[in-house]
Amino acid sequence: MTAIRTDGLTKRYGETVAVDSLDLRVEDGSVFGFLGPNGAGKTTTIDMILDYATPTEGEATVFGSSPDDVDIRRRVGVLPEDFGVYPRLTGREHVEFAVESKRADDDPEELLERVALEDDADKRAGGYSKGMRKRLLLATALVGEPDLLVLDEPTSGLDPNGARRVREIVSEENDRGATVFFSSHILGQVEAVCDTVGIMRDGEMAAVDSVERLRDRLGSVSRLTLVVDDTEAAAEAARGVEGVEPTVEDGAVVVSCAEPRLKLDVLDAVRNVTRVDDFTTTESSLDDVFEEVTHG
Amino acid sequence: MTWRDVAKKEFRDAVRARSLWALAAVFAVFMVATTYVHAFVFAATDEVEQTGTSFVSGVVGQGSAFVAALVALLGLLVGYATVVDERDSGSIKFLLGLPHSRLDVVLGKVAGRSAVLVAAFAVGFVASAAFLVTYDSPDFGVYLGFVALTSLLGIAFVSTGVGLSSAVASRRRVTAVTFALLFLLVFWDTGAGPAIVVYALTGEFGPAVWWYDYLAAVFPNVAYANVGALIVGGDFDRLVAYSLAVIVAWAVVPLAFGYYRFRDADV
Repeated sequence: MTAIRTDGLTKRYGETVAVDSLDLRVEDGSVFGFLGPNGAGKTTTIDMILDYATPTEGEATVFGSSPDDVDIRRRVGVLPEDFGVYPRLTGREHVEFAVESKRADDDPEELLERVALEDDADKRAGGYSKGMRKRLLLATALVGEPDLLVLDEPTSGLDPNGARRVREIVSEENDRGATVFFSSHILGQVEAVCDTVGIMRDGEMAAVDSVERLRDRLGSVSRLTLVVDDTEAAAEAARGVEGVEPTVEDGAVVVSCAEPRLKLDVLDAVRNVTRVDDFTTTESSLDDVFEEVTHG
Repeated sequence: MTWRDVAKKEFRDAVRARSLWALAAVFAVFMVATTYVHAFVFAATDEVEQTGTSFVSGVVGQGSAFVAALVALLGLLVGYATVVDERDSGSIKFLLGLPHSRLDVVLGKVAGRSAVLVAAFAVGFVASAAFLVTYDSPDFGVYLGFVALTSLLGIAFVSTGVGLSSAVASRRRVTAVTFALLFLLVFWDTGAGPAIVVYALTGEFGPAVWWYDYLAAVFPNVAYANVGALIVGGDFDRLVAYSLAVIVAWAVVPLAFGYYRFRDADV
């Protein structure tokens, strides 16, 4: 069974092609990370999957039905990217409205607790911060134990704790059996929770693969830069750690690690042989990923 | 069909807006002032017997241009921004992400906002009825007819407003269209509009043609006066039936057009 399927899905605005003949398959029960930089066409694609926008050509189906089928939406939980709330209604009233609309029997209190909004539940949503609004909409998306969650940039605008909570909820929902379609422009937000990652670029799917296979194709994912007393000794020590390739740049040792956890191993190895004055780590940005995927 | 859920949400939301209570106050002041003028100022001349019927007759007869224009203004104000504002703020994505069809959204908005308007009007109706008790003969039956007719007119304008709001994609555009419509309504009610049309079509001046009254009553505020005449004891003739149909048509046609445009729109 395919949760989301698009065939030749295309959206044009005048001369601009926002989404170009997209063929997408999201398997039932999977967590699909939908990546791409801002402007790649992710939100337009999601808009067509959710019937917010009509495709210029092609079609999208959700569990085999047209997106404008209201009955299908009872099985889907939605967190759109550019959503608004009703400023005069409280957080609790938003959740209650979703429960009534979905003919579900969830306890609003429980859902608000899951997104850590229980203390602000009776305040009007007009006074909520951007992050609180996002968590509120996530709570409404969880109403009725949906078979499919469509989350557009669910972690953007959240603090690290909030983003982690979102990833936990994604895993919990997936364990329950839900399919999760999770978009982000940051690789790090999706790699920990997704089975499959699709990378969109300029309205097209540049790559679809499992996270492991994608990482293999990408080679280095994170870089560790060490400012040390003895660069030669440090490079030698780092070379001893399996799976890393150190180089010396501008008097610092730069180590590319395929596995993020290797950074600590390298750090430990180097500290045994010389003094470490400073170190920084950088994750591969999605732009690097695109370079690899589309030109590599 | 989930329009009832949308209506409930809409009512709960709109009833908390301060602007709504300003609107209720305007209507209440108008109703009380009218009743007061009728009861005390006219009564002082001893020329008219003070009854509920004479009051309603005054309001929907001589006063109809003003009452109907006020009801049009308030009804359109309650309805005209409701869909467009949700598109501007993005709350439409929350709403349509739930299992509501676009028809449910449009119908729910008309129902919820109509309830809001009637609630706002109720303040004025009750205040006015309190004065009516002091009349020689309050004629509450006639007064209830007036309440029902005025509410129906208000609902027709709420529905027209929601229709306009569904038909266009920006707040600026719906504001322009709504004010143009209000101007046309008032202009038509002066008789100048229908007179120009009659002259253009037949070369004759004024209400010389048999269909003049029907032409004049294509707008619901004019039709309101015709139906009002029935409430205070007039005959149910063809013009009254036509006028009722006009009011109902304004509740239905702009809404159907708005829904037709909104159904396939990108939000």
